Amino acid sequence: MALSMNDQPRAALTTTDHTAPRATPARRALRPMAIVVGLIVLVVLGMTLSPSNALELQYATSLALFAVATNLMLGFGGLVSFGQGVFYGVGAYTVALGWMHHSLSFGEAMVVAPFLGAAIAVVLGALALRTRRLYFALLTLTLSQLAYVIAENQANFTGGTNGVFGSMVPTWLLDPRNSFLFTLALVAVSIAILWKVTRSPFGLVLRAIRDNRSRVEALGVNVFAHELAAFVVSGFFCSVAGTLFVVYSQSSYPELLNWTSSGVPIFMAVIGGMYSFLGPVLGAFVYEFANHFLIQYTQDWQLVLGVVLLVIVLLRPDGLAGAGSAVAARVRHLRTVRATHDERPGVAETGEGDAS
Amino acid sequence: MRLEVRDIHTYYGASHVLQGASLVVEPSEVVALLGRNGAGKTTMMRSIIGLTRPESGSIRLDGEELLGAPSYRPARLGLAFLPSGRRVFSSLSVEENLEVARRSCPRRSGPWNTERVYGLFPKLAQLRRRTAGHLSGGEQQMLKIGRALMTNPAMILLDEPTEGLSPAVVGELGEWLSMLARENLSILLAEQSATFAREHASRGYLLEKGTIRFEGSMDEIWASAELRSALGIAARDDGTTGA
Amino acid sequence: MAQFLTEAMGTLSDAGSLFVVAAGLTLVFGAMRVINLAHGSFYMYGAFLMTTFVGTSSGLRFWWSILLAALVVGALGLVVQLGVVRFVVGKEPLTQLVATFAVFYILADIGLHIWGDGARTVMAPLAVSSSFTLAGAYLPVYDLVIIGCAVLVGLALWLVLGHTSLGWMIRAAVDDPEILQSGGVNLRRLHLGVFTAGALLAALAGAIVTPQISVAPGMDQSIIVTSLLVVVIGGLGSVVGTALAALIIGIADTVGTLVAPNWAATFMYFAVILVLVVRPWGLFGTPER
Repeated sequence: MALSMNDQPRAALTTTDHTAPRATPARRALRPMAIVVGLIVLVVLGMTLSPSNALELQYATSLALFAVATNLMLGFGGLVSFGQGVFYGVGAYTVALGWMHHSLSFGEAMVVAPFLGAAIAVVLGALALRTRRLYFALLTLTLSQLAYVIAENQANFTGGTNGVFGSMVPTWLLDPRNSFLFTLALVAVSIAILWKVTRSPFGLVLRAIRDNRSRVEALGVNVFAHELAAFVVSGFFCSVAGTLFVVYSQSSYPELLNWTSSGVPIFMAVIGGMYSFLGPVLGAFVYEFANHFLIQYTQDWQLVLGVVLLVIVLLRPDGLAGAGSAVAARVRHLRTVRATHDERPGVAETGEGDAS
Repeated sequence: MRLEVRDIHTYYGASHVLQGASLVVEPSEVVALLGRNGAGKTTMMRSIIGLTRPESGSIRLDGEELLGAPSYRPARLGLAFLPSGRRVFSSLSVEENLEVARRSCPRRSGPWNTERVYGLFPKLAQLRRRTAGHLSGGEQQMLKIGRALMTNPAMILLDEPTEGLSPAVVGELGEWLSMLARENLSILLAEQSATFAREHASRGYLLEKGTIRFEGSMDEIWASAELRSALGIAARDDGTTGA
Repeated sequence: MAQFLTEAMGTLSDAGSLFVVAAGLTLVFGAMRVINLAHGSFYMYGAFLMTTFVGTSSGLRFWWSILLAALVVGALGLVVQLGVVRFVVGKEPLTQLVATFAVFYILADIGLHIWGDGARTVMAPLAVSSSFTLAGAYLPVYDLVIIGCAVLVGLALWLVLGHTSLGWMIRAAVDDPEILQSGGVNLRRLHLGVFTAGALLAALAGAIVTPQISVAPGMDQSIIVTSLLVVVIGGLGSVVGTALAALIIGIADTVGTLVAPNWAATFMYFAVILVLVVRPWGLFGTPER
């Protein structure tokens, strides 16, 4: 309790991060149930909303994958990559260029894109992971911008500044419901795989590196290899998210690759909560709906986003998920205090620092 | 200058490091703060300066409350802090280090200036253009003391000055401390080496698990076998220094 | 020879303005260990304020406008430091990057409200808008103005950082901020001064290049990337490194344009990658502790 209220993220994560070590069987069953209910709600919404709103929901769903995949490095690996737009763009461009140059069918491109993203991640990761912390963030930002410049200037191959537009998805995917269900299915499977990755021994080592790099190094673990693997897995799924951008917009353009769009999944993770697995999903939906909603009423989306980011990063670095679990912990704490108080008056205060 | 610390509680993250510790340093007095590694000596020093903020209690310097004051305040009042380890401005030269110290407290006047510091430490004068990061441990210790003197302090907090020094340099350090005491500076000396502290301090506090376990003259501390073992003073010291 | 002179002059002038922006960025990083992603916004504000102040006039007012633009943005820097940046000093890089990114968004939006989304131009005074001939090459006088300004900024920084106690204090703040503060220095005030100076330098560069560019929204986004390239190559916090790196970036750009126009824009990125592969902490930087 005392720890999770702490505003130092490192301290916060040691307590809020785990899937409830103190969970009762009932609470343990709650999480999968919540996920199933969430999926059902999404499907129902996608089937019943107006086509334009359903399309927005589809876009937010694909961004959720982008955010979770980015957060594999950010929240779990402690690696701030400002270059995930590269992989998102590679995903989108693989489909778009495959269509434009008549070299890949949609189906082929959907399969090739993630592996291409992963392959590029091997190269860029090997390069960027030579640096650490701030330099890593800046170098990945640079790589993102390099990809952007290439896409913009190699007009013969990429369509240049305007990007690629056209009917690049199969006709059955033009139906909004099909396209929504397709996106949701792909995102759900991808996020499930990422969940498995974070719970695997590999995921544990990754978190251990984040928390105490030198100790893990001293244990003889190849830190570089683990970080590179995280980079590659993240790149793979960011590319999947990128292919879904094409399903959503039937286009691909250079801005997908640049540093500001690389910032987007980071913001989603920060808003939703980078220290919980599903926090970025929450962040993606909040971000995209706020964006969609606000654009109808005001031109000042950037201003609002800026202020929200400032408030979160300065006051609540563990995001909405962190705020939520702090509230839940508080409620639980009050309940235990009351229970203890009822049983043994006078010792209620001993629960104070010890709830975690 | 008189320092009075009363009942301070300091936390480091979630751990309760100082649990209601109090101490007093009278004008021109040399006081030792003893205790084993992890007892809370450094936290006490950092709490007094304000680098780690106590949650409650009171720290008074000649009557002025320091609790909640910014951590540049004590130095301006004449309380210099010498941290342990190699903490000099490593990219600056020796002379620039001294000059930065002087400029840090521009309103304090007194007998100390660069020339007097060089007079006290001729070695520093020879090394005045040398980058501080390249000095030896003993030379850095000299520079740290010189830097403190440049602010014309009335009291000095010394955190583990002997840590990592060779026995020869520890001997020199002892001479410098005696000299500072002769200048009527009050000194609070946090030391793990009780024998070193005994040579310089008249009074001592024994810090254990965040509280003051014993307070008294150094002789009293030495007289008690229990306190000696708490400090880890070797048995062979018994014959020579026992009461 | 004539072509070489033309290219050399253009390169030096580009490198000069880039150096002035990047010097502000690296100065702030040096003293505060904060990378300010809103630094490009100060540059853009400097340029836009210039268009406002100069208006349609030419002549002496141009020079006053540069000064005024720099001062106004300096004040803006003060506000940003007090309102945001001081809370992220000493925090994780992610916190710093997201917070300053947020400031970048906010300033971009406010800028749109003030100046709209169209492009604007500024005319240099007649006295410096002509060209002169040297060894058969026509060279713009205004390039000399920019180069001169960069040299002055470089000299001033060298003097202040290397030869005044204020400069030593700024360097001491990098070495050990805690000890500097416990020695009696009000670190927040030092940071405030440095951040203001950094914003001022960015605005100065933005204002001074206005006769050579079209001032438009989005220039904040592109200049921050180029200045990041410069400080990363030079080594974060090193002014000398920044000067050298600005030159490298300028040359990479010019050579790129001459050799492979299609790939010209990528040359500076490859320069960065090349440097970082050999020295991950930049030419004059020190490995992170």
